[in-house]
Amino acid sequence: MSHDIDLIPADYRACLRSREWLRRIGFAYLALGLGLGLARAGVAWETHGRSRENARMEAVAAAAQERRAHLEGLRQRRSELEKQLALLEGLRGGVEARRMLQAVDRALDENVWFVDWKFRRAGALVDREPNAVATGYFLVVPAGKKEEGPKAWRMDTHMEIRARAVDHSSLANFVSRLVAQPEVESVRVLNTRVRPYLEAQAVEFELAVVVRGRA
Amino acid sequence: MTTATLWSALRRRLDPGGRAPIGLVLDGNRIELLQLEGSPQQPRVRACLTLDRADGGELLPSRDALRSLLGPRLRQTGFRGRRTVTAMPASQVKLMVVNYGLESNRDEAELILRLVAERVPQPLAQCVVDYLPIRTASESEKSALVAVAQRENVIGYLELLRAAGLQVEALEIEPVAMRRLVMRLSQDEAKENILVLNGGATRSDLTVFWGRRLILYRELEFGESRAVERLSRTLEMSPESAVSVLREYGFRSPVSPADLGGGPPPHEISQAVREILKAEFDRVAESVRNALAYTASRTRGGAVDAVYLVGSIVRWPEVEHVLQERLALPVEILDPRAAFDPSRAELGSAAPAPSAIVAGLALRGVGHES
Repeated sequence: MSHDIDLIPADYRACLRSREWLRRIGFAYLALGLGLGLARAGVAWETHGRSRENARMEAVAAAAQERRAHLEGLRQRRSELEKQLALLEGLRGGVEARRMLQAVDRALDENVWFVDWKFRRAGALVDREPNAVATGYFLVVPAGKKEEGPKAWRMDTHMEIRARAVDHSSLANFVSRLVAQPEVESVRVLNTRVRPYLEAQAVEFELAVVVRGRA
Repeated sequence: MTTATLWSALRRRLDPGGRAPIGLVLDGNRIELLQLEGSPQQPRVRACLTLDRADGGELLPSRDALRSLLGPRLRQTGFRGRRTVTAMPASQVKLMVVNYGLESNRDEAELILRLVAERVPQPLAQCVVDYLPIRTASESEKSALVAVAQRENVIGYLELLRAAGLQVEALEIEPVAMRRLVMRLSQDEAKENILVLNGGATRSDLTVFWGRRLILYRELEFGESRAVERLSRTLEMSPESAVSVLREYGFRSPVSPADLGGGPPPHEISQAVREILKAEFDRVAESVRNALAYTASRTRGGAVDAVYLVGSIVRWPEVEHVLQERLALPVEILDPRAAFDPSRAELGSAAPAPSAIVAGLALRGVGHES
């Protein structure tokens, strides 16, 4: 059969077809828009989640950094305190005055009597390398903020004795006994002179005693 | 291979049974829908629905009523898709046979339009016209069955269906649907040349199909309303009562008195109806004989194999016998169910058969996407 009657007007059919296409295109655009919107919302949601996670991780990192810095500060403080402790230990070090007096007492006899006695323990900042070792010992000073280069605290402990002896022999004996004391590093006779004393004469002398450093 | 062909092949693969369009007949107080499935050789009924008002009242009081009437029912009764093939209501389409001689320099459609313009009162710009060539004996003299409908009515009808959610694929005329059904039936039965008498409510027509070709179409001055009018006038009863008498008693043969209850014997009523409508049937028989003679002249003495009755007259009991007596030819009521295997229980013999027109419409596109 080659022909069937169809009374639908061609322009009406074309109009319907156009409308149908427009409807489909509209739906397609709507679906596309909806899909894009959903995708965008998904990406935004994901980004938001990631941002939140990033912020959290950054906060954790900052906290860790802060704790690390705090720890570092504490370590530094500990180090300083340790150094100060060492300094204090050093300051407390050396021969005690009581032992020194006992040593002097052991060296004294009835032929020698003291006129003046100075016991001095003092320190001074010097360069790290000591220029003399015979007169004290060194403490390494904690580095300050403004100090440049290592500094050392040199501790000097010595006595100056002005005394009188009945004669030079008594003086020599006294010095020998004094040098023999373990607390004494060295003894230097600074000067001697004979001076009249009461009805006789006495030898007046000055000694510089260098006390031995840390035991 | 075009995109449409590919799409069609894909749809066939996905849905081997095919999704044929819904056949739809819609007139004032009756709506019929039928959907088939399966192959063209073995179509099966997928869904069937008939809505009518027995009291003759208007089924569709408003335009929106069709949607609310059909929407839920289509889903419930198993219809698939909304593609529809329908026919213009008979009252809104004018069918005519146009004879013309082909001139070498004139287009056939243009020639037919010119002839139609002479026979319709309104300008052709306000009409929708289509035609179906009719087989003729000579090559120079041709005929065509032309359908003319007012464009306004066509658009109104299409918009009514569109508003109801239906997608009209084709708007046909009843003889075309009939031809499709007859062709389907002639595949199963050895009856190739058929005369169909379509007795409608207000209008009737004769159509002769010669094999696959339509060779004759004639309108008759006959119809149920005409018979009812004559009956009610003669028996002095209301038209509604006349319709009841006609459809209940019709033209039944005498039966045994033992079967009868009180009141007048049914065969006496039938006999009275026969007598009253004798002249009408004589005229119809005369028209049929003329059509047969015309057919013989056009087919070099050929004769039709059977006369089929369709339309509202088939509701008159034993009407086929009245015509068979006058024509000396086998006259049968065309049962569309013979064209396909009813696959649903409700389409068994107890259910009202779908009309031949809706069956012919539903057969369009069965087994293949149109």
